[in-house]
Amino acid sequence: MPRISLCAFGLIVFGAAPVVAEPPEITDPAWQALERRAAALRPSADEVKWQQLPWIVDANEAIRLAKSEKRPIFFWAAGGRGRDGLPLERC
Amino acid sequence: MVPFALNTNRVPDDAGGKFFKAVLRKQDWPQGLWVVSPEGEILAFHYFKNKTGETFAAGQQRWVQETRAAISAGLTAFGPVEPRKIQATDPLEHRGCGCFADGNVRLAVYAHGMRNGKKDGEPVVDSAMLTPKDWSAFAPTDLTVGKSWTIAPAAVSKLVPVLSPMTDAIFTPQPKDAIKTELTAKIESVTNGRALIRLTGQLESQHNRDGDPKFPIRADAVIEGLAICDAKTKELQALLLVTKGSYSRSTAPQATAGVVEWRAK
Repeated sequence: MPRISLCAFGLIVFGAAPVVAEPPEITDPAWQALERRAAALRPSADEVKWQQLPWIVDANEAIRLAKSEKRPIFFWAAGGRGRDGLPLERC
Repeated sequence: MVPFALNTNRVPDDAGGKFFKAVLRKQDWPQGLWVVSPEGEILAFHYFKNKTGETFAAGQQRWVQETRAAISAGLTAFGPVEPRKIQATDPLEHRGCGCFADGNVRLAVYAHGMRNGKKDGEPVVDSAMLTPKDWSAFAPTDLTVGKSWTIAPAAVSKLVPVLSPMTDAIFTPQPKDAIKTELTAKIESVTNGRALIRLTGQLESQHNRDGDPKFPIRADAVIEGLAICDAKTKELQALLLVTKGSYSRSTAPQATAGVVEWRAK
């Protein structure tokens, strides 16, 4: 299922997740050269803003939280055809 | 709202699963975005559908507008709610980092269509799940510089998600669809307690969309990569693979590129 950016809304409606710490740097020149190629291919931060939402993937936990917090559930469903995965990735 | 993501083909057979199956039945549609009350009432729904003659950019803009409108409608129907004060979640546990308790490893995968050397279209975010046996194929047993070994084809076949630039899994090969799984590792250097391993190879797949031979899909890529392992323990600390390939279905082959990566911490 294609992705869209919801975060202008999301960070207010759903709550913001903290920034994840960067992994330790590897200084080998060959690694850094390959890393530059990889960096150009990874999605930009803007393209994966939906990852910042505090997604729940356990149905019972989502219902429990919604009831205890007295708020609705934002339900994203995708899949079918026997595929693995979650809507948070390709499925 | 509480954001919840579900693969509708993997709905658990428990109370929570039944709750969301009921939502899907009421809407009679298997995918999309809903705003649902804690009691299961559908407050809003949106599923994007293409319009004939609409440009891609206009469609994307309409998609965002309609989604926001659905969220607003759902919130209005529910009534006032306070902003959430929540902790971060980790829905894709160990994606690209560390190992599961059972030794499985989840490599982070990114793939993209390319045009004139630049990214074209939407990015693909995916994972490749490796068993402990698969993962052990990447680790060296001998750190002699120049020593090389072949990564087991079963492990290499798990990398096929990187071949597809499509965000829909029906257009994506599975490990069983791999027809070429060549990946060689070679100890390039050992310095400062770390071994640098160079990885080179080729990956190729062939499958039919939904198993229908009228819709064949073929994809291939060359793999260039590096891994770093602890010279003392011989355990991998980092893996980075970059791919360059092509993806063919009914249309002309499309250039692709991808990244597969993992860090111990």
